[in-house]
Amino acid sequence: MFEDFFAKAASLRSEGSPFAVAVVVRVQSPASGKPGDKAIIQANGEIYGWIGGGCVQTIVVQEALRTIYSGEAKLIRITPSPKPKPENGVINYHMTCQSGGAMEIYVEPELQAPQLLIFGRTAVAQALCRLGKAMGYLVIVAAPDSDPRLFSDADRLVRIQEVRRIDFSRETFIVVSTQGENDEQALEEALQADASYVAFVASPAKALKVLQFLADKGVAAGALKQVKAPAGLDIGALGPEEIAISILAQIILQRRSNQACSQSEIADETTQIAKVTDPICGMTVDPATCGHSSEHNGRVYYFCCAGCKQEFDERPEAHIGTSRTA
Amino acid sequence: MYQDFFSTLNELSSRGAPFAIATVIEVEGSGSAKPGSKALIDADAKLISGWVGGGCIENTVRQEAVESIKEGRPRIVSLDLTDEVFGIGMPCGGTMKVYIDPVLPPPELVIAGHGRIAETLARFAEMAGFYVIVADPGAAPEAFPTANRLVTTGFNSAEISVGPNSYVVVATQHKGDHLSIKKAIEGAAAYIALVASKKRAQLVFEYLAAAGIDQEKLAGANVRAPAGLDIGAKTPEEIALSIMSEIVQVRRGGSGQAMLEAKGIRIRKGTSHATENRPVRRSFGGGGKLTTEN
Repeated sequence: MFEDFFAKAASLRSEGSPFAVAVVVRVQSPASGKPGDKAIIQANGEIYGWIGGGCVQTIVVQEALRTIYSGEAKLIRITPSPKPKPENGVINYHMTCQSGGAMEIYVEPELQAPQLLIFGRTAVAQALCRLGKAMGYLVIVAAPDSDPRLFSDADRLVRIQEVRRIDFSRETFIVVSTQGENDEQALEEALQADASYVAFVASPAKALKVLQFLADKGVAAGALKQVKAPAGLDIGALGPEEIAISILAQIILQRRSNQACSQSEIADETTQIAKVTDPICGMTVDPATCGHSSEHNGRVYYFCCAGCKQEFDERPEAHIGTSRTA
Repeated sequence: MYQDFFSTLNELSSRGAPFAIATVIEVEGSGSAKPGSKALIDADAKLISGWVGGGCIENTVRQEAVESIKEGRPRIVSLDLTDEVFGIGMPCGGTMKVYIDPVLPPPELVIAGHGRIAETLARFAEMAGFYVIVADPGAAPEAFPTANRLVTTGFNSAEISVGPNSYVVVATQHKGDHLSIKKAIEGAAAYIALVASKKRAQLVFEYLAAAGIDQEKLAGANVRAPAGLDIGAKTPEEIALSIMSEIVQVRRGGSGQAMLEAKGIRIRKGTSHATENRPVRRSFGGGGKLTTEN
């Protein structure tokens, strides 16, 4: 089992697919899982391994998808207690179907390293290559006619013509630091790639000239507007290394704001898949498949399990209006 | 001449004391020095060696060198040799331009702590030209291959001294942090940062107060806690980068905004709002005879 599990994780890693690992770390019996149970959850919601029964699995998949998008590990606590003590970094779920036991599950995202594509052979490009590697990024450099030793940290050196063949499915940041050597061509290549960040290292005057040239050539204004030029954050950077630092700072800033967006996207998707909320435990449930429902005052309520339904049926008023979205 | 000059340069810079190189780059009229004449001047305005002209020229160049060392930026000084106010006494006529280049010892980054943030920060700082000292009992040499010095007795030991050229990052996540911050404040470090959550930072400040830190000094030290520019950093590498960016900002000055906004460029069809970066021209000494560029 373990070997399979790690083999699966390793193969996902090497193909560059993001996933999350969920491990049961504590169980207060009676409960269906045991400490050490683990599962791999892929970005499409596919689950590999065992992490406990139906309700638990739904919660874990949901939280795993969230960690994949936020990049943050978390601890999920599933307890029968209706008002668990809130704790920093712990997501509490109240669940009545948990046969009276409690479970704590640690969920950690395994994200593929973002990729940094650098155009140019300038000193800024060289500094970016070293810094990008220290950041743990996959660094690809398109530096025509350069001494490869200047980019010994790079994962790959490509020719300009090969840029279009790069796999852009992973998060990509592009910095054009050609400084006068075919700026326009490099920037055009950068813009046709599907990147979440494109920066052009240039003075304001130079940037304006090159971007204007591309605009006149018919490159969409929307795309040009996305270009960060001059590149980086204004930290008074002097010299190539400091400029590279200011650019990486901007990349992180951009990356985090992108993730904030994807976060709301995934939230939307989850609500679409699971259309209603269990008023007892707060779990999102699919009315078509959950199999537990009650009618109250002309409205139908759906539950993750018989326990929730029973609790609702006993005192429906107590639970209406207090339902929360998990 | 050149060999002597460069060996003096080499010797001076290895001593770690700041100095400036003054080079005559232009002479119009009959100046006493020629383009290429050089002088080395220390931070106390003392002429160490070389010659760029006598009398008042030398005095002015020496003063400008001190300013340039203080500012950490090179400058060009234009001297009007016809001006008798300078007391040259025997006007030579013409003008002369002297380029002054300060040579400063690298700033020093002292990292208290070990772990991924400390390791990555040490790499970044080395690339940015810092002399890197890692002070931590748990600092293994293989984790800090580029560090200039490892001090395993820790930051609070006598082996570490803090001065105005020191940038200090306390990343031990340890209960002695307030003592490290106190030491950094008392040493008048250029930058002091504490890697901690807001909550723990608050605790460290309470300990500092209890340890009897001078409140005025504390306010003046502007301790960054939590450390780093607010760029949403999460991973250790990102946190290290946010701290490195903040160090550059403190050292060089900058708004922290995107350059795109800070420099006011807007790409629109047919319009240009680019701002130009003009060299700062300062004139002083009265009468506008002496101008400093850059």
